[in-house]
Amino acid sequence: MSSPVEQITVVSSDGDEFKMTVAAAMQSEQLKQMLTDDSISIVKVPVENISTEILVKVIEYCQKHADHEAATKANGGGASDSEAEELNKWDAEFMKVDVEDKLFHILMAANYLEIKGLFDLACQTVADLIKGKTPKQIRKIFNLKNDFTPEEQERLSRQHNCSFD
Amino acid sequence: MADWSHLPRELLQLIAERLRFTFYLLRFRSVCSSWRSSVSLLPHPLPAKFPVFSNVGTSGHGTFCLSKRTLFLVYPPPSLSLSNSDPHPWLIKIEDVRGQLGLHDPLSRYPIKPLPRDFPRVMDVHDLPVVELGQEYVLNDFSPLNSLEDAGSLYLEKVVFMWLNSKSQEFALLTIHVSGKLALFKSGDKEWTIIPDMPTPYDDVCVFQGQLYAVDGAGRTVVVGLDSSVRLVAEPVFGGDKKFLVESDGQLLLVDKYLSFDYQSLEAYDGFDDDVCFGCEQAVKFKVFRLNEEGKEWVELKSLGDRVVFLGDDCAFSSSASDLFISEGNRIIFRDDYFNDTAKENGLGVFELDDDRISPISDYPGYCKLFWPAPDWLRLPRLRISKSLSTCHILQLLSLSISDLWFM
Repeated sequence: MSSPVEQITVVSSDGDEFKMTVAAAMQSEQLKQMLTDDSISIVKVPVENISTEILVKVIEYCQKHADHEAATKANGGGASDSEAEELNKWDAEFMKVDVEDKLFHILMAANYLEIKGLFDLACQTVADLIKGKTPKQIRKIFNLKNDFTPEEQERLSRQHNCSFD
Repeated sequence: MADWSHLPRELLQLIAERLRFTFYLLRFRSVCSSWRSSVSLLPHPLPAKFPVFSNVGTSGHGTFCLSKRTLFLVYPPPSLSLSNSDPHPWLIKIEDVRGQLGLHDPLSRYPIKPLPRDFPRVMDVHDLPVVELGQEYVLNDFSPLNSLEDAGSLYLEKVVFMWLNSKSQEFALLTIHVSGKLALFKSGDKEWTIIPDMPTPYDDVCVFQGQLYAVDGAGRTVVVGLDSSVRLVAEPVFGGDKKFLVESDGQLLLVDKYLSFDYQSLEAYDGFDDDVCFGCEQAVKFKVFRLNEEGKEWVELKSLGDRVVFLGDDCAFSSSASDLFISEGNRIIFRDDYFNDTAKENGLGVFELDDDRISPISDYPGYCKLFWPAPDWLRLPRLRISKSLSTCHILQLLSLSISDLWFM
């Protein structure tokens, strides 16, 4: 049995290397599987799809949540309401990123690395941006083009415009 | 720059699942073609008929019809310049009974009839930001075509409805039987199942996070399983006279209404039998609790913060003060016959948690503006006006979200 690994190194698509504690890495199902598989000896893990900018954010999330879990365990089980609220507040601040770029890539990274908490958080952030908005507003937020065919557009318009004589 | 139109289909679907209300899903599908094709909508007509309870009243036979009403906050179009107008939202409740539409008072079970002649026209609904606040279900014991004409259903208990499976159209309905016990009906059942568990008659039911919850008059709260089993989630709080369950910001809350019976009106009725009692119940106080699931208890909440809770005849929902364009939350807006004296008060009262104070809604102009009459921005000249536009068409525009279901 190899000696217990304290840290692993992840390499971004830009080639930059970052150290992650094992606890933080375990937040990712993908990394967790590698770590718990004795037949793999880990030196450096390349994460090809994830840029430095996004990887830094992802590691930050993983570390914070790993620390929270460790603190909860030390307290003998359940997190207190205030601790849970504090984490929620931290998550909300963490997700205050630009929609045009970072949010998209964080979502993709969380999906790729299978970090459930971050993935759920990112999905919910996107959903919250959509709720209550008109399609035009949604397009603006996500920089999307209205690419419906003229026939589809006509159908949508007919349903939403009043043209009575 | 990220390309959101190229988000993988599975991710788009997962995001769409979190939109929760069909109305938002319809808008999601109106954004662009890749988003539209990632999610399909199966038209789900509401199940039409349910058997009446066999021991109720004189009618042993017959059916209930189910109506659904949806609560919306409608905002002015972002493109409109509102320098002379107040951009506050409008709180409405719309009922769609097989294509026939009705506008309801948000907190009562009665439709707004007749609509005033100068009811404003609405332009492109597509351009109105809309927040859906929840739904209300009502069991009517007569034909749905009459439901908009009559004063209301004879069946007065709260009803909740839940789709069990988005694909197979399985559903469950939970309500409170006249005996005070819970009654459950699932798709495929021939009769209601009356659940025997009842230490105290039940006061309210709700759907929260995909489960059926019920609270009794003492505050004891249970989750009702689809097998009619009952699981305790919170011990009683006792306290007040009527309990409500309401979801607020992802949490389940218990609202306990304290009533006093107003005996003053008895004196006005000379010459009547001593046995005849006149008067009305008046709310004097509310307490709010949040659920401590692990401890199976309700813990009193001293403040609702930014939240505003609305308690209607058949619905309970909440919103944030900021969504309502109001400076302060921490209030409960409720229906109370005590405030029904003038049309201005609308039978609505406001309870401030800060100082346990109850006042008619007319004391709060910011809250009044949410309700009827329609806000000024609906009447702005930019909106296209057509003389032949019937009220039915206007309502159709507003509730296109519901009827869109059949076309998309």
